[in-house]
Amino acid sequence: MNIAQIAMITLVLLTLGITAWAARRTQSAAQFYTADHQVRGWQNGLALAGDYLSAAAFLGAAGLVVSQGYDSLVYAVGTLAGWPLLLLLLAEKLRELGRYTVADVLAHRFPQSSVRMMSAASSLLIVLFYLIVQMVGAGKLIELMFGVPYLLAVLSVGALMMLYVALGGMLATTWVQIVKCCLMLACGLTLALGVLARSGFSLTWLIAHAVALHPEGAGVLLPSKALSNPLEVISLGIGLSFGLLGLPHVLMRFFTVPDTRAARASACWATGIIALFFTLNAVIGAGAIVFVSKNPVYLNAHGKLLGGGNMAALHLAHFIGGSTLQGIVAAVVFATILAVVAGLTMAGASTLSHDLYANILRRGQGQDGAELKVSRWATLGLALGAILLSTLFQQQNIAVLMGLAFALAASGPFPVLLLALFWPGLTARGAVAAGAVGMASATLLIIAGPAVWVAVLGHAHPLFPLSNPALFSVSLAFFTAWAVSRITARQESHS
Amino acid sequence: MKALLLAVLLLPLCAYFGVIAFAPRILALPCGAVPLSLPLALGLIWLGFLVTILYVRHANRREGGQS
Repeated sequence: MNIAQIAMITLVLLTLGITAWAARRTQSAAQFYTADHQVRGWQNGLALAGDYLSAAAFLGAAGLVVSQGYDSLVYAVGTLAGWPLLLLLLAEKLRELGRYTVADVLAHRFPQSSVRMMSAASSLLIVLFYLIVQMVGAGKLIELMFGVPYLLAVLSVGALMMLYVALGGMLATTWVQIVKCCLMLACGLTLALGVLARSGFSLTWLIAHAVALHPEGAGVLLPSKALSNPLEVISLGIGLSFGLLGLPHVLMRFFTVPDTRAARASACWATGIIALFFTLNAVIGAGAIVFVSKNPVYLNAHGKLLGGGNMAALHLAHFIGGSTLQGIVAAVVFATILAVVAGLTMAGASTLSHDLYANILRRGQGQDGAELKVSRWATLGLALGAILLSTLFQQQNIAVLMGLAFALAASGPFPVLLLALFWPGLTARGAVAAGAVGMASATLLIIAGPAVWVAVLGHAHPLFPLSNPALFSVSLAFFTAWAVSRITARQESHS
Repeated sequence: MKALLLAVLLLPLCAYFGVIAFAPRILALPCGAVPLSLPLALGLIWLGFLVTILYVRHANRREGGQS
C-alpha cells in the first residue's frame, strides 16, 4: 500500500467517524437541514471555503497557470469579488429570512407555489450540473491518481457522499468541509513554501524564470488571446462575480449559523481563506511552470505533462516532497471532492424534500419525521442519479457543464433573489418569468456559443460569439423582471 | 457605509475588467520588477477581503450600539 492509499483511507475513516458522531445529533428536520443553526461563524467560514474550493480550484488553477498564465488570476479576481458582494448584498438577509432553503427566503415575500417551484427547479438544475462535473472529475482523477477503474471510483464517491448526507445531514457535511478546508490550506501552504524555498525565497527569481520558461514569454504575465474579445471579458467578469450569489449549496450555508453576526463572520472568514488560497495558487502555478513544465521526469514522449495539465500541482508536490508529499496531496484532493459533492447533495436533497415534497406536494402540512425520511431517500436518489449521469457523461466535455452551472446561477436565482430582497416593485409573476428567462437564455446561449456549437457539435462557426453568456442572460433576466412586474403589478395588487 | 464599500469594491473591479477588455497594454506597464498586471490582480483579490473586514467591523459596531 502506498502513501496516497494510506492517507486516503485515513481520511475516509476520519470523515466516517465524523458522520457517525453527527448522526447521533441529527434527529429533526432542523438538525438535518441546518445543523440546528448551531454552527459558529468561523466554522461556517471554513465550511463555506471548503464547499467552494473544489478540486478544480486546486488542481485546475495550477494547470491553468501553466497553460494560460495570467488568465488564472483574472478568474481569481472575478470569483473572489463574489464573496464581498455576497456579504454586502445577501448574507444577512439570507440568515434573517431563510429557514432551510433559498426558496424559503423568496417565500417570505411570495408565498405562491409557482415562485417556490421556479426556485426549486433552478436549484436542482444547478446542483445537478455541478454534481455531474464533480463526479466525472472525481472519477477521472481517482482513476489517474490511484489506478482505480472509473466506475469503481464514481461508485465509492457516490456511496460516501450518500453516507455523509443521509446519516449526518448538515452537521456531518459541515465538519467534512471544515476538515477538508484545513487540509487543503495546509497543502497549499506547503507547496507554496516549497516553491519559494526552491526559489531562494525570491519572487523576482521565480517570476523571471517563469517568463523565461513559458512558451508565451513575458506574455505569461498578461491576459491571453482567450481574453481578447472585450465583450467576452465583461461577460466573464459578470458571470464569475455574480455566479456565486446564485449557488444554492453556498447560499444555504448561511442558514446554519445562529444569527446575522455569525453570518457576517462566516462570509469574512471564507473570503480571507479563499483570497489566501488564490494567492498561494499563483505561487504554486509559477512553481509548476519553473520546476515541472520543462522537467523531463514529468513529461510524456510528446513533451506534454503526464496525466494532463490538471496534474501540474501533483507533479510539483512530487518535485518538492517526493512521493510522500504527492501521496498526501492526492489524498487531500480526494477529500476535497468528497466535501464538495456532499455539500451539493445536501443542497439538492433539501430542495427535493423541503421545497418539492413538504411545501408543494404536502402544502406545508407534512410532519417533521416524514420530511426527514424523504430527505434521506432524496439523498439516495441524488447519489444514484449522480452516479448514473457521471457514467453517461464520462466522455463529454464537462467544463461546459461547469460554465453552465455558473451561468445558470448568475442568470436565474441571483437576479430573482436580489430583486425580491431590494425592489418593492417585483411581482410573483415577474420573479417566475425572470428566473425562467434567465436560465433558458443562459442555457440556449451556451449551446449556441463556441463551447458547445463548435467544440462539441462540430460546426464551423458559433451562432452566438461568446463562451460566457452572462452579460446578455443576466441583463435579460433583470429586464424581464422589470417588464413583467410592470405589466402584472395592477393584477397582483388587486388579487 | 454599505454603498460606500460597494463602490470601493466595484469601481476598481469594473476598471480592471475594463482595462483587460479595452486597453490591455496598460497591464504591461512596469511596476517595480514586474508588470502592473500582477500587483493589480493580487491587490484586487485582497481588496475583497479588506472590504469584508471593514463591513463586518462596521456592522458589529452598529449592532453593539443599538443593543
